[in-house]
Amino acid sequence: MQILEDLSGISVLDLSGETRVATRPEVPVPVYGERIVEGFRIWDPYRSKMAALLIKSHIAGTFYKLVSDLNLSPASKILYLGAATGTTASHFSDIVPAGLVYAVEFSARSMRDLLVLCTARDNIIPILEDASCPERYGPFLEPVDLVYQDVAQRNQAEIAARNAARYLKGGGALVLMIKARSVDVTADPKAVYKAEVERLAGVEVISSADLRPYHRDHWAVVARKEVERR
Amino acid sequence: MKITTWFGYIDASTGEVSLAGGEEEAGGRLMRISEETIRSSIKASSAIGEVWAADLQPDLRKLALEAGLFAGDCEYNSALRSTALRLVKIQLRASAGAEADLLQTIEALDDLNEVINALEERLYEWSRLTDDRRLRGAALAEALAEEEGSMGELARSILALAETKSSVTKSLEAAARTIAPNLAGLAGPVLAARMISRAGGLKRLSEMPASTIQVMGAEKALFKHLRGKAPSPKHGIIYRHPAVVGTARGARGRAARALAAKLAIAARIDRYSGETDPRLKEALDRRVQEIRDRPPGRRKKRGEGKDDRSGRRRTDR
Ligand SMILES: C[S@@+](CC[C@H](N)C(=O)[O-])C[C@H]1O[C@@H](n2cnc3c(N)ncnc32)[C@H](O)[C@@H]1O
Repeated sequence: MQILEDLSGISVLDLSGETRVATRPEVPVPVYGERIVEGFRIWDPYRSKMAALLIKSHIAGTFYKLVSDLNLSPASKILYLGAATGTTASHFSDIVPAGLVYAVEFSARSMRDLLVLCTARDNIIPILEDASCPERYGPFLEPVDLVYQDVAQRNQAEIAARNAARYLKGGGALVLMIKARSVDVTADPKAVYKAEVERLAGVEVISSADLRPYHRDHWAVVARKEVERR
Repeated sequence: MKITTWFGYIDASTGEVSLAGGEEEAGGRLMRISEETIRSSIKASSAIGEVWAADLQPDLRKLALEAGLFAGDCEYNSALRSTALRLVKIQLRASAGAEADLLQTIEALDDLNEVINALEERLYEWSRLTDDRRLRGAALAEALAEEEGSMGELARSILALAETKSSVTKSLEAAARTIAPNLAGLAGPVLAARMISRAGGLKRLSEMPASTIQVMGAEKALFKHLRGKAPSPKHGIIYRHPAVVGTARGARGRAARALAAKLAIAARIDRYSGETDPRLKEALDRRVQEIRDRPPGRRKKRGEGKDDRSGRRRTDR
């Protein structure tokens, strides 16, 4: 095993010729059946869009820029919208050992599995709520450094914009995974994606990438919120 | 104007922060938060609605730390985490779909078992034409998974189904633990789910007398007994519980009765409060030990136990 790149707790590894991203948990046990190699949890790009984005950025030579844009530190607070059963959230949990991941998920079925993860980790806060009503989880939250969203919903850009407006610190990053088909099944995915990006009010898009071959009709958008001027 | 947060109240005009007192208060507050925020998103004019519907999020951590409610970030994080875990468990238990989902999950598990058994049997018959290793079950499927052609395909399907089974089992266990933590703790999550399914829901299970729970799943034997053709059944699906199987044959009836009594209590606690009570498990273990320590066949002397146990035993005979 060889470490090719390493920043903010995210590593790119060479595993006998294969390029993989990984995070390093305090206790290296698998969460969703992923491989453990020398203390690293290998982050599956087919199961996690964030892993797909990271691998693609490594190949494109923009890994360092992408991860710096996320501006993460071990004590960062992350708001994760659409946490599902926690595949990706578990890696974020590795990345911020002294911070918190606020994991919002509105499906009771997924939340039951997510709870198993939340019990095993001490830095994931489960929230059973609808991300399109951000004020509902206000009584639990604080301003955060990163908003990550993967909800595969019709009004995904609007949901992201409203959450970023309310919870993202000035200068903080938004990572939005856009599913081009859940918005309109018939339209051209690329056009759908563009239209969604235009709806991203209040943040400035700094990069975007499609997630082929790992996820079809998905794009990742990274944006930054302006530092508030007084 | 007071606004509600997970740790207490903030007076929005003075900025004063207070910690709500006691466990009772905290539980009630959590449910209020979730109800009020739901209402506030519809009608943003209530006192709470105004603040939480506003666009900017107050920095709750900073407010709480400045008010000295927590010693530091670590303490804030861990208190927030346990509060959130508790609220989510309450919400899940309250969500109507959760139980229906559990019932489907256990049916799915039974179906998977049946299908896997049938396919493994078929694979065995088939493999005997060419293979005399006489492996069976999962071991056989694994041995043949690399083969080409239909037989290998079948073996791979069996392995895939086995994987499905293990993930269905996992979510079944998680669901049983959130819906009925005490029952799952005593019976094990899968048996707990099976009992809820047999009873037609936690509500109905919690209304059953222990004697019904004891013979649940042994209905055939029970009716035979009622027709006068067989001895009364001593245990149904709870038979597979270690408290029963681990007890000598002669005392199993008594072990099953003790177990059923505790399971009935567990179901009631789960229906009405949901707080996990470890004393239940300790009490069961103690009772089962007592039963095992008493030599088989010897009954308590009369007058020693005023409970109905010895009386009922005699009418059995
Ligand atoms: C594609 S999955 C996310 C997978 C996850 N990000 C991962 O990589 O592990 C989308 C999830 O978002 C949830 N979801 C969709 N709309 C939501 C909403 N409005 N609020 C909260 N969760 C939502 C769904 O229930 C589903 O679990």
